[in-house]
Amino acid sequence: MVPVMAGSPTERVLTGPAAFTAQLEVVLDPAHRLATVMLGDRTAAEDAVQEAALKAWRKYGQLKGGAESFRAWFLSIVANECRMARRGRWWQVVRMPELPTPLDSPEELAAAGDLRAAISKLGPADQAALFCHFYLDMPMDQVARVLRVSPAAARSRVYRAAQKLRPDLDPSEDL
Amino acid sequence: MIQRRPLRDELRDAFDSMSEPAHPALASRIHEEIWSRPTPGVGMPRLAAVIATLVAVVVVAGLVLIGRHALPQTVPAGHGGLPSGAATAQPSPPAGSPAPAVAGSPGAASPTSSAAANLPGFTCAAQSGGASAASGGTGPVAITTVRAAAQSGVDRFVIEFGGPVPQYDVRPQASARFVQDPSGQSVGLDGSAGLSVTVHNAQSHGSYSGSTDLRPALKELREARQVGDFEGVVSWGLGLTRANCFRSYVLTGPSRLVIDVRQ
Repeated sequence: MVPVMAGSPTERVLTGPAAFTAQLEVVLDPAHRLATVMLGDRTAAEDAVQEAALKAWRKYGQLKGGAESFRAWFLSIVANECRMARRGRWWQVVRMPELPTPLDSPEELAAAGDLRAAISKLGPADQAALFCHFYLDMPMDQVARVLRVSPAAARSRVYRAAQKLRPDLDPSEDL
Repeated sequence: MIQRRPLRDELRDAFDSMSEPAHPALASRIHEEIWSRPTPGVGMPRLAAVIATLVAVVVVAGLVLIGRHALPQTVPAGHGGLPSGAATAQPSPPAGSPAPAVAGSPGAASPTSSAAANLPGFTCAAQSGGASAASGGTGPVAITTVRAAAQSGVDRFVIEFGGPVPQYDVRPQASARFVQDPSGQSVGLDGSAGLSVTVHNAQSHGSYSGSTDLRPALKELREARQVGDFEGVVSWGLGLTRANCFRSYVLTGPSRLVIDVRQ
């Protein structure tokens, strides 16, 4: 994969599919990681990212702004795609039996020290919020764009989701 | 509190181990898809939008001209929206009182006060009217707008059509519970009585994009909900505060079915 630096001159010179795919390559990795976190399944994640890429391509003309804004915009399409995939009927039928765990709430799992299992039990918006903020180091206004909510709502979403994983979370801890 | 690693670090590790980077094959697959599509990226959507806007302006202008010249003559030819006084719902005889066709400017939701004199009286029994399917000939008539609002002395429910108002009937019922078509599931609306509005040879999907559950919370009309849009029959349920008398009639310019519930 050819890395294209965010904000590099090439990006502005390229137009059409070339510009789009160049911008896409930079965000494909984080997008795929987000999708695997939200769906817990590689094939489903690839399908979601591919579908999101095609949707993004169709709407690319409407996008304004640089690389930062492309990342948040594309991740919001990916997150939405994953949310819809989770809502699909096959998901409830096929996926649920694959998670045989005696504990069912993220809080219980987190208390048991199983952070990964706890994350996989969170709701899609919680997962996306935590992933974007903690793993991708996105500032709150970018997280807000991914979740399609206000920055204030994004902040409280991140905080509440973090609290589910660590109930004794100190409010002063830097989020 | 036990000193633990910062949550940030723990989450970072967890996310790192539970997620996977994109396989290079995914990138090539997406590239192939995108390069094989004629969909334009930058610039073209704007051009498409401009063309769509121009087409829309021409179509609207055409419709306005047609509406001015043709509609007032064609629509009143139907059965008209007169209420049948009898308790049974029977189709209105053509010789009945004429439909109060009021040609207003598009967007005028309420008949003018001079026109109000021509409106039918209130009755509490089932009513029907509109053009029969035979006179329409071509496919279902598209519903374009549905709204509800309080007017002087009445709570008004309006369905606007993209063509002559098709045959309809309005039946009072003793509860605000309706059966949805085609699912057959029962749905309860706000209120303690109801009016069931059925329009034959009409269609809502594809032409009406507004809410299918209006909650104007008026004095008499509490809620209006589309309970069916299937095989050319559109039905709406109206939830009323109490069983009440009403009138139904057809207006033109734009073509619409009006149901007034007396306050």
